[in-house]
Amino acid sequence: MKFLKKFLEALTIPVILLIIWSILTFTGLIPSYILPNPYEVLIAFYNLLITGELFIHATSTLLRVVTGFLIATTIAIPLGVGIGWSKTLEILFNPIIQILRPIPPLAWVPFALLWFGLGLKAEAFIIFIGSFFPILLNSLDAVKGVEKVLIEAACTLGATESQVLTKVVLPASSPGILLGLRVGFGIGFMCTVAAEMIAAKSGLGYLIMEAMRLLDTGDVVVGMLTIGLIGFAIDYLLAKVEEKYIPWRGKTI
Amino acid sequence: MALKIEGLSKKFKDRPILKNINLEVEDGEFLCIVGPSGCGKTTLLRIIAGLEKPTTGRVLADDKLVKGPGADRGFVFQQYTLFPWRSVLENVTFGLELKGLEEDEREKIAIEYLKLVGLEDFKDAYPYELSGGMKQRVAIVRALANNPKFLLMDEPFAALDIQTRNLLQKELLYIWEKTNETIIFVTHNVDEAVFLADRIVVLSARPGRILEIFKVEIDRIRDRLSKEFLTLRGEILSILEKEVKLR
Repeated sequence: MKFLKKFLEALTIPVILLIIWSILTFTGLIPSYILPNPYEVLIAFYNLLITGELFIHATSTLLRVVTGFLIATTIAIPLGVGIGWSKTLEILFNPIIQILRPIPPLAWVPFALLWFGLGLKAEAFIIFIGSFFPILLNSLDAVKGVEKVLIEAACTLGATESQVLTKVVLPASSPGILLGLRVGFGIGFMCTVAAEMIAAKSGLGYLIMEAMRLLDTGDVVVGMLTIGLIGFAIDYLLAKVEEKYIPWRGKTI
Repeated sequence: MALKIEGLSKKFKDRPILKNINLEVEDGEFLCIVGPSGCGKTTLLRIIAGLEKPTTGRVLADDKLVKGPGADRGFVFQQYTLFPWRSVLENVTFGLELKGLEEDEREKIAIEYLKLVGLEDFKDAYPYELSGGMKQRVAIVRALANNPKFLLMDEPFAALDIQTRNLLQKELLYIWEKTNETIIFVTHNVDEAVFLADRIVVLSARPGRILEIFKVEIDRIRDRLSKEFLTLRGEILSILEKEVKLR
């Protein structure tokens, strides 16, 4: 009962928006080449679904995101933890990070194409750049933010430096690291679609750009909503992981 | 002598914190250190633990020079320091895990110690599910499970309400008698010191030096309202009062 109530509450705003959208479009107040009506979107969705096109584009986007994201994760977490833990590493890496960080991932598109050509590698590279910094900086911050007294407690229990790192610093910073993964994935996902609009022959971004070229606004909306739903689903999944493995997050120690 | 402090001084930058501390602690002794706030008593305890280095002088624990923290000197902090990602049991087994003991073995030991403070039923709980008093009990037991030679306690009950504090003091005496630990207990609470200690070291206002050492020869469990208790308490309090006024 409680669940149903929450579910209905969560639906309120989307339903209101759907109604406003319907009123604006079905009455002809806004022509469909500016904004398609919900029915047109449904038809477009149906067509893209049965031809399998939507599936192909969605999987090719996802493949890129996951590839770039995983590579970013495997480099950014250890590096972030290392920089957060070691003053020397911080001094070594800090300047280059500060310089590279403000460069928008899409500014890398020319080099991505020159180095890797059109295809998965170039796309994954852009996503890598997009995910890398949020994961790195969140891991770094998380490690630096570990309560000193927890480290001291471990030392008085006989922990060596490497034991402090693996048994205290890593678990203590896991909420921050996971947050970095969520943010990193979100940004990586946004980068994919943007990059696909410029440099790809498949993917949801490509689908949207192609549809726009043909003034097929229905397909554009389907592409956008698919992106939104996939992003939502993955973030939800990561939030569930957090709930399961870090039940103590946000609680006082 | 179990613990020897020789000519120990500590400065932070140019500010002297501790001045020429010489002290010996016997095996199995319960020693309390009291002093006005900011007198460096916590710093002294942290130096014994190896968490800080003395500017001059040295600490010998069991004839070994203290160079850094070690499992032979367990520490209970004033703040709550349980590892929030570990259950009560996993917190208590932490030190044993570091030593490389088998899981069965360390759990057996941990349960034994948890029973000592009546928390064996909470072994699967997480720290955030415990009250302040329970957290400090677990912290004490976590240090004890390592079987340290010394138990260093830095105002461990300061954050607790008075009933819980009094209860934990009694529990601590019980634990001390059972385990024969050598305990060095820092507190600003004179009442607590008189209730617990074999000897009480009174430190001066900063820079802290030893003003006086009292031997407490009242039978335990001590009656806080007995004449001897109140006399000693009054004596120490008047020394401390003068110290604070002098500044």
